[in-house]
Order: sequence, then structure tokens, then C-alpha cells
Amino acid sequence: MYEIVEKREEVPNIHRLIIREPNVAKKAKPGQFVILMPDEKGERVPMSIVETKKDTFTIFMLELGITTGKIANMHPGEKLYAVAGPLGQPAEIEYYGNVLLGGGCYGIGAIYPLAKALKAKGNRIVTIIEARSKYLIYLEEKLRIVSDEFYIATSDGSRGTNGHVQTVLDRLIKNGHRFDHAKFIGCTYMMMNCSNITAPYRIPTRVALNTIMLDGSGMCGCCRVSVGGKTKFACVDGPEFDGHQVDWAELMKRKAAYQEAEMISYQTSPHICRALIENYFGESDE
Amino acid sequence: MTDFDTLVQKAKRSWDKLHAQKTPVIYAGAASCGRAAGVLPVIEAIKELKATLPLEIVEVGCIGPCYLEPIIAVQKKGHPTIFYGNVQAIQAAEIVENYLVKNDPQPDKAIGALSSPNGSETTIPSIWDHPMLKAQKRIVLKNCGLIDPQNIEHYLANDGYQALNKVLQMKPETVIQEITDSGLRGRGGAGFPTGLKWKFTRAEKDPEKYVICNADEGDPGAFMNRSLIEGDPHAVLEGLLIAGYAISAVKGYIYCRAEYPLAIQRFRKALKDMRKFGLLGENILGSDFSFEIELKEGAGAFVCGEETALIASIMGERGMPRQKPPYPSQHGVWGKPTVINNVETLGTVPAIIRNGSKWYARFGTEKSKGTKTFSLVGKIRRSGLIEVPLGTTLRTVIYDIGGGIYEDKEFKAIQVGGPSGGTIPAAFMDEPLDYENLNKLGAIMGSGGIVVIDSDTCVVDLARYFLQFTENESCGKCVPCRIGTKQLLNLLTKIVKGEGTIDDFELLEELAHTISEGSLCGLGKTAPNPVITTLTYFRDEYVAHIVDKRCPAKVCKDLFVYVVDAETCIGCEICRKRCPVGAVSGEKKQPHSIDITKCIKCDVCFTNCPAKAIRKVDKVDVIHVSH
Amino acid sequence: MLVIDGKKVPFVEGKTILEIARENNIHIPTLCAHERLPSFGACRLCMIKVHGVPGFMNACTTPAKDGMVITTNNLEIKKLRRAIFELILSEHPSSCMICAQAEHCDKFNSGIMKAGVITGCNTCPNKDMCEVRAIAEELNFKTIRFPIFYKELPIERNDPFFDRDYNLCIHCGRCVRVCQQVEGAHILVFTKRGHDTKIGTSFEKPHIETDCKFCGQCIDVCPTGALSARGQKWYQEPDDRVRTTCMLCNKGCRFEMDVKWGRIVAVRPDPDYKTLKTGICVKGRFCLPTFFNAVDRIRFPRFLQNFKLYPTNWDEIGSHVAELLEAYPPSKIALYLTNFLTDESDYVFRKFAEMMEITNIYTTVEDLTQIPKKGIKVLWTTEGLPGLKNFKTLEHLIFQEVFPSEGYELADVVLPAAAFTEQFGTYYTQRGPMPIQKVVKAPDLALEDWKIVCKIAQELDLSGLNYLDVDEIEQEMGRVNYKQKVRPVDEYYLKYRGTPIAEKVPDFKILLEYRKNRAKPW
Repeated sequence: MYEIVEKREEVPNIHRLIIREPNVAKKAKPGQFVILMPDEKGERVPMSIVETKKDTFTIFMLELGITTGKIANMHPGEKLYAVAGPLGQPAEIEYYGNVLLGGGCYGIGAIYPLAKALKAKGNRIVTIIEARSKYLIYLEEKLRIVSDEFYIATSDGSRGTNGHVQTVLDRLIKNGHRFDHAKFIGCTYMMMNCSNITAPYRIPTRVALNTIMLDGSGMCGCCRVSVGGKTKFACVDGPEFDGHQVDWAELMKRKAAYQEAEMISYQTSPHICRALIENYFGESDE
Repeated sequence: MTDFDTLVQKAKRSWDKLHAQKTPVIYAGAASCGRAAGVLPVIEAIKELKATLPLEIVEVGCIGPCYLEPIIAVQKKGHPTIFYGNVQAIQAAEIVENYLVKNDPQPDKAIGALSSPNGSETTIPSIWDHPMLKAQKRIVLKNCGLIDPQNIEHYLANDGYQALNKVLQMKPETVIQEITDSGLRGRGGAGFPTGLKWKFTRAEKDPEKYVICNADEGDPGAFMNRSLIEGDPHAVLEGLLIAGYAISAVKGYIYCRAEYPLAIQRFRKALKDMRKFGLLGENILGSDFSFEIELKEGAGAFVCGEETALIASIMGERGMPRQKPPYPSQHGVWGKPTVINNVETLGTVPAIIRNGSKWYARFGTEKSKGTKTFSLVGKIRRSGLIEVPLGTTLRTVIYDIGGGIYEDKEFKAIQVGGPSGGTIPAAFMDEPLDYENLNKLGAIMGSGGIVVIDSDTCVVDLARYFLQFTENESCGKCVPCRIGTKQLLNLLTKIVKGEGTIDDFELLEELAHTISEGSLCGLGKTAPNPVITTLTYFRDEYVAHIVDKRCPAKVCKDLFVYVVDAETCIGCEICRKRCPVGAVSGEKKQPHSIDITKCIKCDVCFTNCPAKAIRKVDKVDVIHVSH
Repeated sequence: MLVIDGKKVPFVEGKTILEIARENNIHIPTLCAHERLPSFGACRLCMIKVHGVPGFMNACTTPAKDGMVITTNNLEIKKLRRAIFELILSEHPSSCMICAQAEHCDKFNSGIMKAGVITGCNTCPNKDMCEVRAIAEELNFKTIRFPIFYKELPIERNDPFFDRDYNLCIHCGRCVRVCQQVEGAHILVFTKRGHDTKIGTSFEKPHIETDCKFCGQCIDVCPTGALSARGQKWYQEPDDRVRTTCMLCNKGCRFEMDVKWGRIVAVRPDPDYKTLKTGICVKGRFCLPTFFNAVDRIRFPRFLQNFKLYPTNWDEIGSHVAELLEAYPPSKIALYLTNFLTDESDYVFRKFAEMMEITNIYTTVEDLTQIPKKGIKVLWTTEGLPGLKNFKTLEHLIFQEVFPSEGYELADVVLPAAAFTEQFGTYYTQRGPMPIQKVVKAPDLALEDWKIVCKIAQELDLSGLNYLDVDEIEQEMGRVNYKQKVRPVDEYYLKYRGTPIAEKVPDFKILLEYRKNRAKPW
């Protein structure tokens, strides 16, 4: 249970983890997520499920803070303290016609199951992925296979279009591309920008929100978001919401809620990776 | 009679005895070049003769024509001494025996002769009339290949340390004046007047001064310094002593790269002998002048040839240049005024002192006086080490001395000055080789490496090769050199792969400018020279690569394919059998064909085809690349 | 006299062109130059033209000469400078610097960024203090024409206190120079050559395996985020910077502390303190913020009731302590004064003792042996002490501390003290008396030690012990000619009051454990 079967840093900071948990593997549907805890005292971090196999599932984890750092420093064979999932509502997978998928950062991985499922429904898939630079692009081959059109944008122009998902999206729409549905996963800023672009064209837009979460079952209320003026919980009502209805400004504020706690935690936890501590003190008889 | 005169007379006696003795002497060119060509087994083979034939073997340095190595000279009393070239171990004993026992001088194998004072005449022309040696003027290389570099008496017998002896009776200022008058300029590359450098350093107030002999020769294809050290180390050391005396230095350093183990060995032996003969240490030759020399081995960083990096390295720090000013003449090793001279510069000094500045200034041009050694390599028929007066034309060097292009191919260009130098096209063949002129043409004298290029060489690829060298050898300190050379190399790699765009011209030129203007030391400042000169003189080749996606010399592997000419192919199956990837197909006696998708361009089929039926064809003519 | 960009400026012998330009407010961009370090000439951004000299010169190494006419910013120079900087950007993860969305993205991602590997300013711990970024803005960079080379070096996190992501390194050599020429340590060196040149330790050993003292000066001079103290540099710009003196030992080092959200987040040597040539020690540089921010600080006065320490306010605890002290004769009461009291607190304590006629004043652990001899019943300690439970005569323990250290479990009164960064005062050190500044507010109800004494004195109706501030105490100390001594706590003392620093600072613990065989662990 919860064993890390495989772990690889695909590109700097993005780790692909295969975790053994048959229940999640059996039940997970595209768009759902899991909550992981590396150790008993660890923070609880939500991760999109990217692929499932018999009794394992794959996630792409962005190493960003202490907890993800702890997971990044674990080795295959080690076990996570807890895995809860699958959580959240599965993504809407229907036949729409022309579907646009936008992914950035961990979202490049997270859009992959959606692309696969949407493709299976007979949709025509246009995928746009963004990264800061060419060396941060991953999963390109797999995404190309399930996409009918595939675009890359980098903020430094080192590959594909110089810009972002919205840069390519804007160009495609202006060049006459018509989309019947759009889904975006990535950093909040990107999802907001893309939603703003699709809004005037009335393209139904779904975004997967990455809020702070605790229990993932709708009890704590950490993941509260305002969608269309109503309070929703990202963990049980989402993570997918109508991108045109999300109160983005509020979301950004809520995401910064724990800055001070993070600072203290950063100052007071030992950071040396566990393997090294063992290396230092485990074999001290030399 | 002074002690020194006694030393010299004794040395002369033993030198004369060696040349007049009854026992035959075999002189074997055993410098690095000779060893690489296999002289050691030759010596072994000759040694085996000793059992039946009394003879003596003397290992000497290199006389110059490296393409003839291994070279041995056989001295026989009453007969001319005969030089034999390309002597292999299996025939060595036979050659020696034929001459010594059977009295057969073997003119077909001989490359020249030295007539003995009262010996019999010979039909073999003098070694000095050998086409490669005839047009030379040997001042620095005077003793190379003729004396035993490990025997200080050989040097003493050939005017050795006469200059030092003379200098010790002169005022240091007079010595500097003499060098200044001779017009000697630094032979390490930049060509700064040596006398002036000494004068500046002497003028510094700090009484603790140093002299450094820069023996960190590192240009690919350059071996002038190595040959000189291996052939005549005392000439360099005598120069170092004179420099030390002239600036009143307390100590001298030799900074020699560790990749020159033989040179280091020669130096060590020479230093030991000098001390024994009172030429080093306290009160040299009984004078007030005391001087120590320390040998430092460099670990093989090219940049350590740069004077400030070299100084850092001597002091045990990382070989990283620092910005000048202050110059080493003000702030050198241990923060003290320091003169750094190249091996060849120092090697020239004794000759100038002995013969006078006027004599030396007769050679060369108005601004570039004297002679300069060059290593002549590449696609040239007679490769080796030469010494010519500065101002000699390229034509003399390439055709008269070098014997023209190897396999009579078309002479395309020379690359002079190593990776810091430039490529000079054949059109400038009548230009004189001197400092000003080479700078004018975009190259530099450098330490004097000349690489001859024929029509089979792609200049873009050549520039890329040199860039790869500098990119690797950059010390990594300053941005333009560390990153600029990497980006420049990257651009050139793109071009040779056929991925260049027309915008790359501008980028290449700007980048080259940035590197040369922005870099901290000479390595970076001159690193783009191969690119700048090839862009100037061979722009059409760049255009061919970038626009037409063609490599005219058929060197850049991504731009051509191998094709079998069905009419010429004799179906011998050699290419099919040798191809390592099975890209060649065809039946015996039937024309073969090459599958270009499998071909890895290893060149095996091309070089081995007896019928010359395999052609290199521009890829664009075979495959239509769609863009 | 020199002329720089048409402006006449005085010539100073022995100074470089850059120094003279800066003294005269003429801006020349640089990355490798640093006021504390010898010039290096590596970044090549300070290229200038000296009239009459062919080519360009770099301002940071070229000695100024009288009469020089210098241009620092004509078109030709600007072009060269841009071209050189573009090369730096092609290697430094710079996508955020040239990203059109950077400004908005920054606003949205205002959270704490501390990614493992740094791939852009967005995740860089140093983004608000980055000199590369500043120059990119100054030169207004929007595109890079060269291919991007990401070095793909693994982030080096095998050491306590700081991570090294040399992918960000621009080879300015400041860390190497500060390590070699200021600290004299030679831990950081240039390794490899050519494009692979890298800064690091010899043989790529972790710092903990070298003789690195973890003085942290390399981090202070790093213009990028390549060297960053873990948990100290990733907050954006600090809210405040305050300078004070270290009280962890008697050396009297001066600090400058970064304050964010009311907490100390970083410490570095006081840049103005000229006598402080080398760095501050690892305790001050790295351990302090973690130590004083530790979550288990004593925050409230407490007293024992029903076997439990109940939190209370100062009024209640004051009268509680007053009652307690009045219940015993002074001969049965002892005071333990820690070496970490400010001079003022120490004076107030002693004055209090004198007024209360308490003569049992202990300052060392050895002094405690007198407890059974004299039958001490009440011990008021200002420091956690070992072995208190062996003293059977003790009936009450008043525990005035920063942390619940040794003996806390025996206390029946707990008084929360402010740490030295949370108060004003003076500390007598090897350098003489040094000022202590209040950097941050003490947590919750914690108070300066002298204030605690005053609170209790008030309840005891002792007059002459109600000071407004430390200045008042200092004046009185001057009047009575009170002399403080240098405390017997040396550089390698491992506790603050009764708490081992390593207990609260896991990285320090690792350092001590790893170097336990060394007489001087740093």
C-alpha cells in the first residue's frame, strides 16, 4: 500500500511518480485527484491522477515546498504515509466536437488523461502546452499521439511560440479556429488568462483549480472558491469549474493564506534529504 | 686564461675528438618527433650491431624535416657523414652496415651528407642543400639535430655560453640596449619588443625581480618550442640567464607543460650540468651575478600560456588570467616585476649577444627583424620545423621549403597562429610573413604554427574545429569567452549541419565582435579570429553551407551522401564487405549501391574503393528536403 | 582630474575607474564587482572607452590615471554591453526576465517560492534582490537571440543551512573571492574549465566535509539565487532591516537582521562594522532566526495549580511571585543569573536582590552545590539548569526563560523572557559594551528580564525599581558606577540560556554530529 513504485524527475522540478494503491487505480476517472501525505506530520497535498494501471497510478508532481520536497526525496520502494482518493468529481467527458486543451507546469501531465478520454469520445483535440523554457517540456510524445493539433509555447521563445497558452490560443481563434469546448490545467494565472480569452467567444471553458486542501472531503473548507457567486468546495464540487465564473482574485488571495506558517516551517524543519542523513549518521563506524 | 676558457677548451677537445674518432658514430634524431616516428626501435636495432661492429650512438635533437623521421646520420672517419631518412627498425642495421662495412653510401636512401674535413668526396649533396633546409636561415635552430642536447660540452664547443660570458662583463643597461637595437620581438605571439619589456621591468623600483621562460606551447600543430628545448636546451637557458642578468632578477622560472616530458627531462639534465659547470647558482662564472632557475610543470591548460594565468599557475593558483594593467613588468609573479619571454625569444638572445645587434637586424624586415621558426604541418609535402627570416613570402615557405601541397592538390589556405590565428587564403601567397602583415590579414604570428590547407578541407569545419578547442580551453572566467565561444561553436555546428539560416551571418559577426572586444585575455580576444578570417576570405563557403546546404569540400557529413557511380564500379564487393552497418548492397561484378538511410558516413567505402567509384554528392541534389 | 561622460571628477590615486565613477554617482552596470572584494573583471559589463586607447577597457580593474577622458555609455558600448549580457542570459534561467507576462504573473504568484531546482525568477528565492534581474530591467531585455543552455546541474542540498543551485551561477566569482580573500578559507574554488567551468568545493565534496565554517558570506555576496540559505532568502523583500549585537557569546559581533511579518528571517554581518573583517559564525548567521522562531517559545506566565501550569497575565503572576517570595526569609531564596542577561537586566536583578536582602546569587552551575548546604527553598532561575530535581530542599522553582529548557518540568512559576533580539540594552563583550537593539517584538506576553523584575518589585512595593526604559537604567548604572564583566561564554558555547541551540535548529545538530570529532566544529 502507498508504495512508490517508480520515481523520476522528468524535467527540473517535475517528478513522475507511480504509486501502488489498487483502490485508487481501480476507481479513478479522468480529472480526479488524490491527496498524499509523505509522513505522519506532513502537509496534505492534492495531485491530479494522470494514468492508472492495474494496481498503480501515476502522478506528475511539481516540487514546490517542504512537503513536495519530502516526496521528491523519497526513493522507489519507500511508502507514503497516506494516500486518499480518488477524490473530486471526474472531468466532464462528452462529445463536443473541437476541443481545446491547455496545460502548463504540472498541468501538462494533468491534461493527458483528459485528452485521452476526450479523444476516445471522438473529439478533435487541439493541445497547447506551455513552459518557461524548452528544457521544461515533458510528455510531449504522448500528448502528440492523442492530439490532432499540438502546440508548444515557451516564455523565452526557446521552443515553439514565444509566449503562453493564451498567446497560441488567441492566434488560433483569430485565425479562424472554432472550439466547442476548452479545458485548462496549470497555474492559476494561466487558467485565468485563458478563460478570459475564451469568454468573449462563448467557448465553454472548464478549469481545474489547485486550491489548498486538507481532508479532501468537503469538511474543512480550505478549498473554498467562489464560482458564479456561489461558494463551492474544490475538493468535492471540483476540481473542475466553469472558468468564466471563477472569482480569480479571491482564489489568489486564499492561496497565499499560509505564507507565515510556511516560513516558520521552512525555518524549523531539517531539509537535508533523508538518504543523506542516513549517509551521514547511518554508517558512522568508519 | 679564465675558468670559462678552460671549460670551453675542454669541451672543444671532446667535441673534436668525437668527430675525429675512429669508432663510427650514429647520430639519431631522438626528439619527440623522431620518437613518434619510431626512432627508439631503430636505435635498439643499431645497438644490436655493436656486438660485431664497434660504434657509438649519440641521440641528438630534430634537424627539421619531420616528414623524413626517423633520421639517422652515420659518421665514418675519413668519409662524409651521411643522413638517412625514414629509417625503419628492420632496415636500420642494414643501412648502417652497408655504409660502414660495405662502404656503400646508398645515395638512394640518403637525404644529405656532411663532408668531413679531409675525407673523400661524395656524390650525395650536402644536407644543407636539401630543399627543405636550403632556403632556411638557422640561427635559433643552429645546433638542433647536430649536438647532443644532454651534453653541455657539445653546447660549449659550439659557442655555448660565450654570450653569457660576454654579458657578464657588460653593464645590464648595455645588454638591454643591444637587444633593443637588434629589433628582437616576442616570439610567443604578440611580438612585443623584447628589449623594451626588459627595460620596463628593470626600471621598476622593487629590487626583487623575476624572469620566466614560457614553455607552455599549446597551439594545435605547433611544436617549435618543444623541438628547440629537446634539441638545444642550453640555448634557452643561456638566454634566460642573460635576461636575468639584464634586469637584475633574483630568480628565473621555466614554465613547461607537463605534456612535454622529454623537454622537461632535457631541462632538468641541463640545469644539473649548468650547476656543475658553475653556470647556475652563486657567483656565476666567478662574477657577482647569482641566479637560480626553477622548473615548473604546467598541467596542460592552454590558457596558462597567457602570461597572467601562467604567473597564477606558478604561484600555485588556478591558471586564470587577470586583467592587465598592471602588467607583469609591474606586478608579476609574487607581485614582483617580472619578465616573461617565450622559449624562442630567449633562445635567440645568445646569438644576438654573440654576433651583435647589427648582425641580427640584417635579417627580416624593417619592423620584424631576425628569423622566426615555424612548424609546417597539414597538407604539405615536406612537413617539419623551419626557420626563415621574417618577411619571407608564403610562397617560399609553402613551395620552396615545403615542396608544395601533398598529393598535388590545390593549395587553398594556411591557418597561422593556431586557434588564435587566422586563415589566410592562397591568394595572399606572395605576402611576406611578418608581424604587421599577418595582423593586417586578420591572423597573428602566434608562436608560429602553420597549418596548410588544401581543397579537401572545409574552412567552416576548420573554424569550428578551432572554436571547439578554444571553447574547451577557456578558463571560464569572463563571460564573452566562456559563453560566447560556446554560442559561436553552436552556431558553427548548426551551419555545418546545414541548419544555418541567413540571419546567422549577422549573429556570427556580432558574436565574434563581442568576444574579441569583450574578453579579458588574449585567448578570448583572439578566439574568434578563425571565424572572422574565414568569413572574410571564404564567405562563399559559408553561403554554400547556409543557403545552398552544400559543403564544397565535402567534409561536413550532414551535407553530402555517398553514391556509387554505377559505370565506374567494378563490383569488387570490398565496400559491401567493409561497411560496418550493412548499408552497401550489390552482387559480385554488378554495380553496388549505398542505402543512404543506413549510412553512417564512416568513409570506409570511399577510402577503400579500388576503382574510385564512390562519390560524395551534395545531399540536396539527392534528397529534396522540403521546408 | 578625470572626465567621465563629459563630467569633470577629481582624480584619486590608486582607485579604479569604477570606484571613481561610483563616488561621483556615475552609474556603470556591473555584476562581478563588489565593494568588499578585490576587483575581478569577469562579467565584462563595465566596459568603457578611454579616449586614446584602442578597444574597450573594463572599469572595475583599470586603475584611473590623471587626465583620462572616459565614455561609459555611448552607442558602441551599449551594444557591446547588451551583447555580453545577452550571453549571460542565455545561460542563466532567465525566461521570467524576458517574459511579457512577468509583471502580472509576479503579482499573482506572490506566494513563497522555494522550488527545488530554480528554472526562472518565478521560483527563485532571490528574485527581489537579484542583480541579474536588475540589469535585465535596466537594459530592457525582451528577447534572447541565442539558444538557451540550461546546465542541468543537480541542486546541491547535501549540506546544512544552504542549498546551491549552480544552474543560476553567472561565475562572477564573488563567493570565491569572499571565501578566499576575506574569510581566508579557500573552500569555494573554480573547478573544471572551458564552458564546464563551475564554482564549487574541491572534488565536489559537500561543504560539511570540508573545513567550511558556514559563515555564509558567500550567500551574502551572491548576486543571483545560486547560493541561498534555506528558509532565509525566499521571502520577498524584507519589511525591515535592523542592526544589533549578537549575545550568543562574548565576541560582540554585529548583525544586520532582515525582518518579515514581525519575524527575523535572515542575519548577515553588519556591513558598516569595519572591524568585522570576517564573517559571523554559523550560530549567528544561520541558527538565530530558526532558534528564536521555534514554535515552543515560552509565551505566557504560568503557575502551577492542580499539577498543571496554567497560563495567566502579568498582574496575577506578579502578585503570585511576590507572595511566594514574601513567604520565605531571604536566606532561603536564591537567584540564578544567566550569562545571557543584558547588562541592564543583570543590574536590575542585582539591585532587586540587594533590596530584598537576597545574598544567594549564583552564576555558575557549580554554585548550585550551595543549595543543599544553605537549605535554599526558593530558586528563581533565569536559565534552564541541569539536575535541579536532586536538590530536595527546593520547594519552589521560579523559571524565567525563553524556552522550556531543563528544569521546566519542576517549575511552579514560569516567566516568559524576551530573547536578546526582542529588547534594547547593552552587552559587555570582548569589544567592550555593545548596544543591543530590539529587532522584533517578543512573542505574546514575553518581557525583557528587567521588566519582569520590575513587575514583581512593584507587587512587593519596592521603590526605585520602576524604570521606563533601558536608558533610565543605564543612567543609574553610570551614577552608581556599576561595572559589568565579560561573560565566560566563548564562541563555541552551544547554548542560549538553558537551551542547546542544536535542539531547536536541526541543521545545526547535523553539523555538530557530523563534526563531533573536531575540537572546533566550525
